[in-house]
Amino acid sequence: MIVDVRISDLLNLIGKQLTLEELEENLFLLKCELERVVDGIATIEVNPDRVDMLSTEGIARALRGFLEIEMGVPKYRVYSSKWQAIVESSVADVRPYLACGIVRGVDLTSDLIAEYMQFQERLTSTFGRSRKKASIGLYELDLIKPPIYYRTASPNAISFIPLEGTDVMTAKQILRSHPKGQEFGVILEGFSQYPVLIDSEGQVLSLPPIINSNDLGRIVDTTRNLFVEVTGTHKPTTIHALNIMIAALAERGGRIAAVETVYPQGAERLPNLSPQRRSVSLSYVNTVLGYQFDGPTVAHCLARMRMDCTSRGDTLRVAIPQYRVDILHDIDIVEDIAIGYGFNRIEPTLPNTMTIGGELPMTTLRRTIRDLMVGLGYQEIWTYVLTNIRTLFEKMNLPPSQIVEISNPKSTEYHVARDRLLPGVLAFLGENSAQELPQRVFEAGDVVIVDSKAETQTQTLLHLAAALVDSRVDITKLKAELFSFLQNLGLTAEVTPISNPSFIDGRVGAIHVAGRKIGIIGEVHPVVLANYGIEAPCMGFELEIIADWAS
Amino acid sequence: MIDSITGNERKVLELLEDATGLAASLEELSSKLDMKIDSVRSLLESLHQKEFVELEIESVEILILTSEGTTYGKSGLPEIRLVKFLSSQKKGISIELARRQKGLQADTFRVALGWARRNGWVKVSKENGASQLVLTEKADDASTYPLQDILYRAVEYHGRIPESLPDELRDQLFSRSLAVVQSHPKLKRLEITRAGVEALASYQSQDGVIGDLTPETLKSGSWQGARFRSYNLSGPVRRLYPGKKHPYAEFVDRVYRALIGLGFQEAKGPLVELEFWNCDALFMPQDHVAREVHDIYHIKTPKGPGKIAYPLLLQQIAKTHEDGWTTGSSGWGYQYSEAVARRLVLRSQTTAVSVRFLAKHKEAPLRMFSIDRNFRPEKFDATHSAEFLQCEGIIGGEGLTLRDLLGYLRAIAESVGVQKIKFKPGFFPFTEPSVEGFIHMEGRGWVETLPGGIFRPEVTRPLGIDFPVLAWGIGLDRLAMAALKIDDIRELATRSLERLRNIPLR
Repeated sequence: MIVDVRISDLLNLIGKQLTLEELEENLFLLKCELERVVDGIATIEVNPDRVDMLSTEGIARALRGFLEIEMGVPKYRVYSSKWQAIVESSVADVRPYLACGIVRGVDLTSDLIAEYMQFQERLTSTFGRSRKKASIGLYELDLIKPPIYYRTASPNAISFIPLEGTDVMTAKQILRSHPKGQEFGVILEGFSQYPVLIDSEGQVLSLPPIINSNDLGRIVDTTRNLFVEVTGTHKPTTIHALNIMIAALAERGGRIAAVETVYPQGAERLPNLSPQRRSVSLSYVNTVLGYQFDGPTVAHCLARMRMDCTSRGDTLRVAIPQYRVDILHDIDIVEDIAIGYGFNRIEPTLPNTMTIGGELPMTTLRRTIRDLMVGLGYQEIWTYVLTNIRTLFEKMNLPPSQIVEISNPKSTEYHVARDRLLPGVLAFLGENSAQELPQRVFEAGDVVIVDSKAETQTQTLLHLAAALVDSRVDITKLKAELFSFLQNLGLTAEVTPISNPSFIDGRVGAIHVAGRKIGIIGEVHPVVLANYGIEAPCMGFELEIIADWAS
Repeated sequence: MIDSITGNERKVLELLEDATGLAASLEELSSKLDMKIDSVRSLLESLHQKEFVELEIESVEILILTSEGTTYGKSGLPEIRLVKFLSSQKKGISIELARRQKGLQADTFRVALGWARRNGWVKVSKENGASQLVLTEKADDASTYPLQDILYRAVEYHGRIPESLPDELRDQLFSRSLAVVQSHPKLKRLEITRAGVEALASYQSQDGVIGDLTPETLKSGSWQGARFRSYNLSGPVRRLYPGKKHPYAEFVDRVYRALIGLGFQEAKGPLVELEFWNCDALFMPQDHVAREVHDIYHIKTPKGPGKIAYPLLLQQIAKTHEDGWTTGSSGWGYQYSEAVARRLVLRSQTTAVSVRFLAKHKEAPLRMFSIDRNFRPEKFDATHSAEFLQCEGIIGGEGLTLRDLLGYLRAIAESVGVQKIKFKPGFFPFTEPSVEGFIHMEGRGWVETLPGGIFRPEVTRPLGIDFPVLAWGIGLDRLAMAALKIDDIRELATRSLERLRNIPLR
């Protein structure tokens, strides 16, 4: 994930002047990358697990710990309030969860408002899975008359002016013609009732997860008090998104207040920013890291990562900020200890274990095949597994047969996996028809065929294809080469005449080895030559390299 | 019994043998043999019938001088002659006088004056009521007039005009009827055959001169006292194209050797893969963003579902995703779907091969590697490829640590020729801790090429593995681009036969 931050703003929040080099080095060791700096804006890549660092505030908070300016779990005081948000049972089927919070006394600038909107987008697009799991809304608190109601209504009954708009639209119109409705409407597809957030006077806050109202949701630089809501389909994600958003907003000195979310089953006060707690074994930490750290050393490493840690014997009691949603297992604490220690300080070691290396028999065989083909005077080529129907069938003058096809191709050039190599080899020759004759090329590579009985309904097979273009070709000479190739693998072959529209009748045959049909050899039909743009006679063969030959 | 050859045929064969089969043009042969082109051609046809030469003559269109063009090629264009005449005069001269001048010929005078004026070499000025011809400053250009130059050279070259002419000159040649298009025989291929060499040798030995040694000559001892014909070893030779391996394939072979040397055992997996192996077994939740259509190619046909041959593993992985099972993890907290697990995709990471391997090999110590293609939805351009080669490996054993991981990464980098490496913490869904190895490439600075990590307990425990497993990968494309000095990733699978033929193998 890419985050753009204003360097002066970042350094202000960190509270220390750093050179760009220092900033880059510390970000690097904190799992981020400073990609570039243009006009005072730093572009920073943040790993997708650290969604709490998708804002300038989050990055500054992490760096303050790492630089030992402010260590340990950040303290967020949550004041109580009389605000309530009432969740009605009707939302249970559509988008069941709601989490709300208040931040008072924020000092906004237009830069900052834009950044908050971007942060919110990043958070909901990754962590919120493109708003499906969770989506966030920010409002001007003072315009809302509590309590808030979260309920469903029919798409025609919900109407308000969407954010940045001028006209009142119904929910139905928004989904049909508003850009946000078109982008995220799929989340509400199939529901006859849409979720809506309204206040006690019936003012619409938003049509989650599509868009907020322009009346209540337009944040301007005179806004001082914010109301934040998150709706979602996954409860932990909904609550985490609120915690992360609120904690970031409070980094600039805002005062957090809780909102009581009332479900039919009971109520809870959010945000809850008291730390998560976890016990980790010190010996486990040392086993993974390969060090003999003691409790205080580990505690210091974790403090740099904004965690608190006390130790007694082998037990580490770790307090983790609520906004850290990436801690699933003790191993995640171990990694933070390693980062807190500094990856630049970790000395690599190399254990003295003995294992025997080796390649698969098929790999050895493939190399042998390639050696033989090179010995016969063929140039090896390398083409892609991905190709298209035209190359595989139409140009080969063949009817299509079943093949592995991609459902989300990026281009019509590459939408199927090859099941044979020869079409790709001929396409290559066609592109090189201006080059000096004779041209002799081969490819040894994987193809994929459909096999409904197989585990993946396909088989990946090794094939060999070779082709020769010259001003005059003689198929019996190619057959002699094929046979000498197979003889050098200890195989005897037989070629039986067949008919195949890619080749000239009477100059094409099936290759049999040990009674099994393994390939084809022939002189390419002039129609096919023209299709590929090959301007001189051409002949070729293709065969499957059988796994048994390798053993 | 081989056909015998005539004296003239012998001359041709000797010439060909001398040039080591280098095909000349018919004109060149004609001048070297001092014979008319038609005679050379019939000699070649005869030799071809006897199978002493490989011969192909094609008909090409060439530009050839007309008789008018030839005249002007010899004595100069009329306008040039006019300028020459005028410059030999001390002062301007009247048109009438010029017209009657002997060297200018009355019938071409109009042409001469027309072109000379059009080219701005000559102007007509009125003096005392009479028209006078006067040279301008630009008249000097006449001495380097391109059209005249073409004509001069064509005359030297049997009336043939070089093929690549600017359109403007070509048009002038045609519009002034100085040249016409003619079909012309051109040698496409001319090579002495084995039989030709033998025929020549036997002809020559009759002379007491030995060309090629033959078994018969050796057996009979007739070479003793005979003269050996000498061959031209300092002349040009024909370019040959031996069979060669592909440079990228060669690079991959080097990586194979390096890893086998480090004690790694190769494994391979299918290109069409189940999401189960490609993602689920790697603890990537089923709604993970990296599993969506813009990150993985999903398969339309065959439409699946595939089979999961490990029912117990499926169960344990499902539990691990849902609530962490017995791995000590909280899991992802969602309802796992077997239908999603059984969907088919084009493999997006070779790590799928590593977990397939671990499902079968649970004995420590182990070292496995796999080098194979993976796929992701990208358009092909200079820096992106929908198909990429990854080299991936795992090291499993009791007591392995993060420090060991860094040690192995450094050793692997060194084994493929990388000297400088530095580490930063990284993130991959299936490893923790994760690390990214940056290698230093000349001219490119630090490039991220060597990711690694320790498999998460959520990956190893369901597989029934209790010892740490270190995993690493190398993006071979980028490494190969540096080694092969390629800037465009598509060049790894170059479409140019010329390039493959010309690239040196080192």
